[in-house]
Amino acid sequence: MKRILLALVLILSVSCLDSERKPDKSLSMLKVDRTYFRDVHNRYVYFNGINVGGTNKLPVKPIPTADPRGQPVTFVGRPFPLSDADKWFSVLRELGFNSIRLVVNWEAVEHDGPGKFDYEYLNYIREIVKKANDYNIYVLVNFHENLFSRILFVNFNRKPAFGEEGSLEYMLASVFPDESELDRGRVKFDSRTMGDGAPMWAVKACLPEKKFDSRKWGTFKLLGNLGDAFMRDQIISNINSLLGDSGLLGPVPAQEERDLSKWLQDMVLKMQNNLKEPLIPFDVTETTDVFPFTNWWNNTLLSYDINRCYAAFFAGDKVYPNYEYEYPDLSDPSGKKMIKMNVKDYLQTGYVNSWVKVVEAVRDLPNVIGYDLINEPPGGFLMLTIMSAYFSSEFNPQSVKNLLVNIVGEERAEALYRLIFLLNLLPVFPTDSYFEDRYVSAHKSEVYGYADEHQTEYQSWLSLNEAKYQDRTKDMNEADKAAFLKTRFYIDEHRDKIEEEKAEYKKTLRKQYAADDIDTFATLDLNMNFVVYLVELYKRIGTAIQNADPNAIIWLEEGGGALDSLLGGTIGTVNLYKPEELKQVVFTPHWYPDIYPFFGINSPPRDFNVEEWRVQDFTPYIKEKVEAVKSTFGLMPTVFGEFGTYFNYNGIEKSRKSGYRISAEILDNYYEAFESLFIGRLLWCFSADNSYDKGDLWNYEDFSIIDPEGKPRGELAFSRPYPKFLSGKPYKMHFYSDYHYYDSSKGILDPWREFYMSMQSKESDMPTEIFVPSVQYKDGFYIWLSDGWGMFDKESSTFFWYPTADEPGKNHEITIRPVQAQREYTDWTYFYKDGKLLVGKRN
Amino acid sequence: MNRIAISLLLVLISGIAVAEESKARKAELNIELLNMFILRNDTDFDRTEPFYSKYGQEMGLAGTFFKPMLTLSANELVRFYWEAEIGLDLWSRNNPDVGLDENNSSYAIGLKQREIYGEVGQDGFVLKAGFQRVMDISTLFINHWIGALRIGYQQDEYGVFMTGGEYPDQTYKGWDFTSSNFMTDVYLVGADGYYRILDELKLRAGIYFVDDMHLIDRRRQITALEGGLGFNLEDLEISGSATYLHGYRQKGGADLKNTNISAYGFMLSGTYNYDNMIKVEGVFSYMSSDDEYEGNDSGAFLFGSRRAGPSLILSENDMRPIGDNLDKRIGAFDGVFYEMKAGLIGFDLGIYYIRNWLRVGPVSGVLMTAEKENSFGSSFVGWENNLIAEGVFFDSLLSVQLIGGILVPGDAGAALINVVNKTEYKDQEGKTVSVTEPIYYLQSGITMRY
Repeated sequence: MKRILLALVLILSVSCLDSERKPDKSLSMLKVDRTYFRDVHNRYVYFNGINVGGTNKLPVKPIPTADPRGQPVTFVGRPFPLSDADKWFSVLRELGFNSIRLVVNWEAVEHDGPGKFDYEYLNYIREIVKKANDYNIYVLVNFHENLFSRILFVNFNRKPAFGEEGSLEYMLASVFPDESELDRGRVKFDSRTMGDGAPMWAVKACLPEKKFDSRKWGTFKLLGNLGDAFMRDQIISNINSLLGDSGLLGPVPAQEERDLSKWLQDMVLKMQNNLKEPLIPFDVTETTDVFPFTNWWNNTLLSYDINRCYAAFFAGDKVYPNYEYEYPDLSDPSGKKMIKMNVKDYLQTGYVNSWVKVVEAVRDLPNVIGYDLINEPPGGFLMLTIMSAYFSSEFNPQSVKNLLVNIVGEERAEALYRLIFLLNLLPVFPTDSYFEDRYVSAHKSEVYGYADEHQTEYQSWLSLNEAKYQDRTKDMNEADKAAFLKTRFYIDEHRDKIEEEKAEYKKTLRKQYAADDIDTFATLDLNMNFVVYLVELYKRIGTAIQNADPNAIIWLEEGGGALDSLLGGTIGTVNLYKPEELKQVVFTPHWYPDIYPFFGINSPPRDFNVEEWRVQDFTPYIKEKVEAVKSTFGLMPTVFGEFGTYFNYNGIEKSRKSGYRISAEILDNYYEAFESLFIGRLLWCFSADNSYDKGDLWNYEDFSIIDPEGKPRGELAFSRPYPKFLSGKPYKMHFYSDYHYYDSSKGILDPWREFYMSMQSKESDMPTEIFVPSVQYKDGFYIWLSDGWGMFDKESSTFFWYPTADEPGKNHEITIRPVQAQREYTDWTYFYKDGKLLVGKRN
Repeated sequence: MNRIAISLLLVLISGIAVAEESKARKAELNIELLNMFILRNDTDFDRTEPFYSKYGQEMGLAGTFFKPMLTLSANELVRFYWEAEIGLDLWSRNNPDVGLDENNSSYAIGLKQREIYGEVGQDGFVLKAGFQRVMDISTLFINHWIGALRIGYQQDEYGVFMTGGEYPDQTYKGWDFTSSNFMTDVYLVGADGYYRILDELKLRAGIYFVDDMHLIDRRRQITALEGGLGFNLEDLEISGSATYLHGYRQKGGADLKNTNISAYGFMLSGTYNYDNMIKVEGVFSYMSSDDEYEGNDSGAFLFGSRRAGPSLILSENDMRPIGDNLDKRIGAFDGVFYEMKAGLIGFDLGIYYIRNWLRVGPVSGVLMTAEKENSFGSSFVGWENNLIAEGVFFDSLLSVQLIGGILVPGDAGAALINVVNKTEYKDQEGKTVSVTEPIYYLQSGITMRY
């Protein structure tokens, strides 16, 4: 009897119990609810993401070191080949990222021509998004762009032959081809500054006068002027002015033994004489006016070509009313029907169609969290306006000054005008003496003889004009004086021809700059009311996307305004408002502190010490970003689409040796600010192809959290605990990393690596998921729960917390702490170490 | 209310007897006053100093515990019983000069109503209602002081009882009567009985049902089937009992489905008295464990927190429970029960020499876990060895106890009990530091009874 009873008990025990049960980890489509994201289980979603990737701005072919105009173009393989996707998504998951901002661009989709889409790339993107879903990673698709297109680029040399790194001579020498290669009869540059985004056919539509096939394309425009003696002198004079203006461009170095002017002249001769086809002279139609600034974004302010492209894109119907092109009618089955349209519609139709193709490729995938319509749309058209005014006034510099005073005020106008002048941003219109000298030079065989052949007229001219030139000729000998006067006579006699040449020069110059194509008043309107154009664009793209995907969430960025930047602010287009037609909208600003290299060409990374960043609080700046558009943009979630830091402060070698300490301090400041405001964040960036020498391969930016060996750097700053999903409304959160400033108190241990989060009333039975990074808790961790129970999934390093208290107003709290020497742990709920679990109490 | 009760007690203690000898009404007051002293070298097995270590790591207390037990018999049938505990009041903290108002309550003498019930019995029928101690057959599962109603019929050969009550839970309600309802309470109903098979042999059986509704949408229902046998001779007593728990927890799984509860426990105890000179007592307990996962069916026994046994630290401190017994601390308290995820295997043995007023002898106890995966890979919690000396004087009105002992821990004990380090570690010089250091202790008590 007893044995039967015991057997019965055992059988019952064994049969009633099951093995491990796991929570449902699959991602579901999200919706926007007030200022939150909610999943299908009604949980609140928090994004801790990363931009994938920095190298996505460049195609796989042509390779990054080749001429960007090369064909064919493919972006298949950016961010990484599909064969590497498991590896990299696994790394990203282990580091704790639950979302990525997938950097794609217009060129990647529609590079071969209007209406010609790269379906191989679209399939690749779909596979990448699907693979991300396998790793429980959400994807925000972003059409990225900077400086409009990578076709707008300028070459330079990183190791120039002249000057000390950081000096003005060094910068200037950087824009010249490699001297030793020139001696061998070759033109070689080892670096370039470029944009990304639009395909070549789009750029051609914006800049129809340019010769995109020119061999000189990408050569710094000022070199083209060096072949002309007058221009060369002008440039050298400006350089010398800059040399004396150390506050603008960095420290003035010690005098070089080699005279810069002499070296420039030598280089000019080599560029003219050493090559099969001389490199110089060339005019601006054979290259772009992009500057090789290390802070590439300065080109947004200072490049006329880039301004023009954006103006055509946002307001081409107003600024360039005569630019018209044909775009294929996609509804025509034969594919032959074309529709003629203004350049704005031509460009925007291509952009929108490309977006729709991407949306169609991924709209059914549950892990797509939205579409970020355009990266950092620049709202500054200062250069365009200045140039337009300059052309309108027939090349009168005073008109530029007046305009600047009206736009930015008298104080800033002077500094800005000086910069424009010294950088030769305005096409220099020579003085009358230039044309006179040029004419004389072209006809020098007849100059002196002309006076002899027209003695009567010459004598008559002398009687009227000789006195005028008294001061100039008083110290000349008779022969020189005679030559001078005869030349002056020749010039006056051929004044009409000289004026004709001058007029022709003007005409040519206007043509080179497309001056007659621009409506000046439209450019002013574009500057002042950019927000209207931007919102119109958002409406157009957003509506098209939501027609293709009714569940689409549209992520909108603020525009970067030139006026805002010049006025010293850090905020973008403050009056941004939501297009009424768009249903689910998210505000996604970017913010970076003052980490960029100083203004200049080939500028080295900044030198910082740790103390400069240790206690900085980024919260006010982040908060300001959010608050700035609240009154106009309205109620919607805010997720920061970009933030980040260089990893090469004080030079890459020093940075590596320090364990990337300064970068980690900066990142920690960011994360603490985001946590204190409970705002989602997407870090810039991850680059699978990062290089110690070239960074993320684009403009020498080195922001990747993965080093060239594929190892994370600074991960103690960014691989932090955080809630992926919350069963209740987010309330408070903090994590104190190794980089937190601990204001220690006597007898109280610093709350080292302490994570705390609280949320309000439970709104879902599904668990709150907390990422618990192994890198922070190598020796185990304790968990305190206000209520409920949980389980730790080692594979995803996630603690699944099931709160049980249901009453309204309940504040649900979780605290996680590492094993810390000499800390007493009491009243905890769980302790995990080496895959083992201890239960302390049940709540 | 409390002040009135204390005043009443003080009047009683001052010697003014309220004892009427009458057939109809009788009052009987018993009092137990314990002055207790404990000294231990540590509260856990890890000698690592905490960050602020100037308080040292020793544990010591001197305190007073006063337990009045008042029985009022209205007649032969009806009886009222009230038992309170005033204390354990620590000499280093509690001050009888301070009132019980909210601001000073932590410094004042504390009062706890232990049992307050009325009892009626006639011709074998018995009814007991109020706050009382309720125990199941095994005493491992249900062993609580709760509000309950117990009715039954008992004779010498047999008895059958039914019990119904509620476990206290203040969730949502506070002290506001009007917001109280029955929807979020924890209920107990049960039936048990005994049958004397032989004069010496008694069979016991019981079935209990606990319905825990205190968490919204997380209901827990447990049915306990129990059986026991007791064998009683003049010098030998042996009893054994077994409990099987079966139930479910609503949405208890990681997949939010219901989870099953299936656990068991048993206890064996015995005492042997040789010639009124040597007494041996032993207790063996077993409680089932759970697997290493959370969020699936549970096999962990739900322990009521009181386990019989002569050990001092491994089981409840018989002198006066101070809540630090290890058998409870290796479980996880859920508000009502201690869930024994690692299970429990305990064995206590005491051998005493008894002579008139003296009892002296060693006690040894071992505590282990049944599932080492839930105690960091080791099963051994600790081995306790004590020497007890007790003197009883003045017809048991005064007893003096002195106990000295050592508790040697195992790795499971360190993992489950230690507060700073749960496993051995390397210090800054690379030396391995042990966290399984023994606890030495001394305990004495002077108990006066009235």
